[in-house]
Amino acid sequence: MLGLGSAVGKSSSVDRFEGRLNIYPGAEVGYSLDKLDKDYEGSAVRVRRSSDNQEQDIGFVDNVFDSASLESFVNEEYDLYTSDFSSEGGINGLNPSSNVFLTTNHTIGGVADTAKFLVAAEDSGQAYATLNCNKETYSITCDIYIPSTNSSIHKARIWTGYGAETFAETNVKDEWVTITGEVEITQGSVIRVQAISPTNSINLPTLESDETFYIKNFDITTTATNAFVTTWYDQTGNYNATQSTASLQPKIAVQGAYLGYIENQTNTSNQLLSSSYPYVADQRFTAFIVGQQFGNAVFGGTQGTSPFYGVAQDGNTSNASSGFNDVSNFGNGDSVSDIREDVASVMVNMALLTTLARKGSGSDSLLAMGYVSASYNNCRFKEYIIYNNQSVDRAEVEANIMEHYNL
Amino acid sequence: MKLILWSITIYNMYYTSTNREELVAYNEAVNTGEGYNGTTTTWAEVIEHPNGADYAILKHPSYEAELTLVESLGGDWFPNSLE
Repeated sequence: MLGLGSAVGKSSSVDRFEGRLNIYPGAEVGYSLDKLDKDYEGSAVRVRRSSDNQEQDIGFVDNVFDSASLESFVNEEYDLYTSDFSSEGGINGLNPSSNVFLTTNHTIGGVADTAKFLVAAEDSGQAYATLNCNKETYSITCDIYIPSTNSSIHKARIWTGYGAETFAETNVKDEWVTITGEVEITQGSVIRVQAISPTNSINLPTLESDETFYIKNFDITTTATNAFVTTWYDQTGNYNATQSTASLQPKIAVQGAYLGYIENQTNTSNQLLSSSYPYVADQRFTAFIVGQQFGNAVFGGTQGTSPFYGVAQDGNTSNASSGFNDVSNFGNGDSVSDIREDVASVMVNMALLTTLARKGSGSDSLLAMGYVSASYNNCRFKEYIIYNNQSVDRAEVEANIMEHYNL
Repeated sequence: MKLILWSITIYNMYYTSTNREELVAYNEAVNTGEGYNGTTTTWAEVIEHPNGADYAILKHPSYEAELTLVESLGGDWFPNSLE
């Protein structure tokens, strides 16, 4: 079969291209970031970008993943917020805390400005305004003016409010200063514009009656966001793998750049793509998985709920001399010596993992790509093909895949 | 006019509660705010502690709630290991 030559599975010519599903027909499911079937006209994946939650299908160019289209999609500039400070409360998303007052149309040096943070007289504690952050990477620019007449407000700081990190601040007095920065927030925070005391504390002493600082032209833009896979299309046309829960969707682009693979998020909760590939009791299957582990990982399960029978590899290499953590994780927990075969050592690098397994019990979907509990979700995928039983020449398919991916 | 540049990174947090409905309501608030469309339908799933009394949900970076906020969930939340 390999006599078709070294271009097998590659895209040296559209006309001559023969995908693995053409050369080795009969696959039950075929997920890949590259094209597997010359006649397949669908996309590789559907992705959601985090900037505005829009989704888009990403296909192929010359039979390989169209990374340019993906990166174009996730790098579209999206204006999150532009201040005009012209309304009370909320102010286009910049919500003042209870001890910060905002005024408009204030005049500094005879020039009308549209924004002013007036910190309450005789107040103490923190003085800040917040802006919710639900994206990953921001470009922030604003102009800040701090009068030298202040005695308790020494700086104006832009930070997240969690942790101690500051990404923009100024203590320059009596002139407008433009502060700008790129900030990556992978999870959870708000942006605060906060007054800082002469002792560099966010907790201000009791203030004089005219303590102020001013802010204008507060612009936040995201230009490079993350993208997550909502659907990995089955190129056999049968059973797409999907994840409709945003926080569980695996990543495919980070800060605007294509990863080169699909990677489960590293939260300690469920992370997976689930296929609708039906469960058939005692059916044997052969799986070819191009992937990598970067911690504890399971590369697929025979069902989506416990027990998570699947193709397991553990970051603890003491149990992984054969390439698998525990044979009980394989072949439905039965004695699997008769049905278990595998290749690939511990997949610290992108590698091919071939398995012959059997579905024995349970009723959920066959494929849960990534473990569904604890930390067994540190895996990356490029391709996942399944054949029923041993209906394909395993060695030939392995050779084809390894050549295609230079493994 | 002067120019000042900085950068930072922040990570995951969870809300916990003994009232599952509070977390469901939080998730629904996120869904409404985010306006998911297409294949994506919801923000997160409520995680139930094996003790049956405690619940948690991943905090969305953009949405605050008056709930207990923790930086991570301990191993007791996920007793399952590969069996």
